[in-house]
Amino acid sequence: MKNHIRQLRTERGWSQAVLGEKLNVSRQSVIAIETGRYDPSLPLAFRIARLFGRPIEEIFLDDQIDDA
Amino acid sequence: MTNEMATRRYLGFLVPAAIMFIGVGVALRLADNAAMLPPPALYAVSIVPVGIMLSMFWSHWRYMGEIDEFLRFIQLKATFAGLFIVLSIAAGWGWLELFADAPRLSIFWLNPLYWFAYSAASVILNIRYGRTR
Repeated sequence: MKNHIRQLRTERGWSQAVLGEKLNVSRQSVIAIETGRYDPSLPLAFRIARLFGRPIEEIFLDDQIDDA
Repeated sequence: MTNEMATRRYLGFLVPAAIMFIGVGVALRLADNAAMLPPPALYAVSIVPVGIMLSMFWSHWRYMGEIDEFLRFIQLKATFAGLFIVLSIAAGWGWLELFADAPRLSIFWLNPLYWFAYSAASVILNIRYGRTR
């Protein structure tokens, strides 16, 4: 699932490792989520949204809506 | 517990256990060859490597509960890959033994084969998903 996590992270000057620490996940988890290779669980998606102060729908792009 | 701490604890248990497993296996073979122990005793002592093997799986089970969801996803895939390879070899070689007179493969080798296949799959998946560069 495409997302804006990389953009939001770089806007704040955070490295992937720093974002991982803030979310209590590994750096490779951040890499996998940013590149769309792994879709986070709902609790993790909510933590990401809370951290960036944005709704989940603004961070994660629904592929079905994009295709429609 | 951080992922790094969990991984260190897991490997700190697994590697010595694997070495013990191999060592006990070699010792049992030597004892059997030298007829040092009567058969009933050999049966009893053979439980030791089984206990070690179970502890290795227990430590993996614990590790899977301590890491984050993505690393758990990798571990699940690697575990499945290991099982897939072992079961395919066991079934395939079994057919060859039955119908092609292939030399008998001791099921003893399935456990180390699983760990080898799981480790290889784990490395490949970590590279694929960007952990190792």
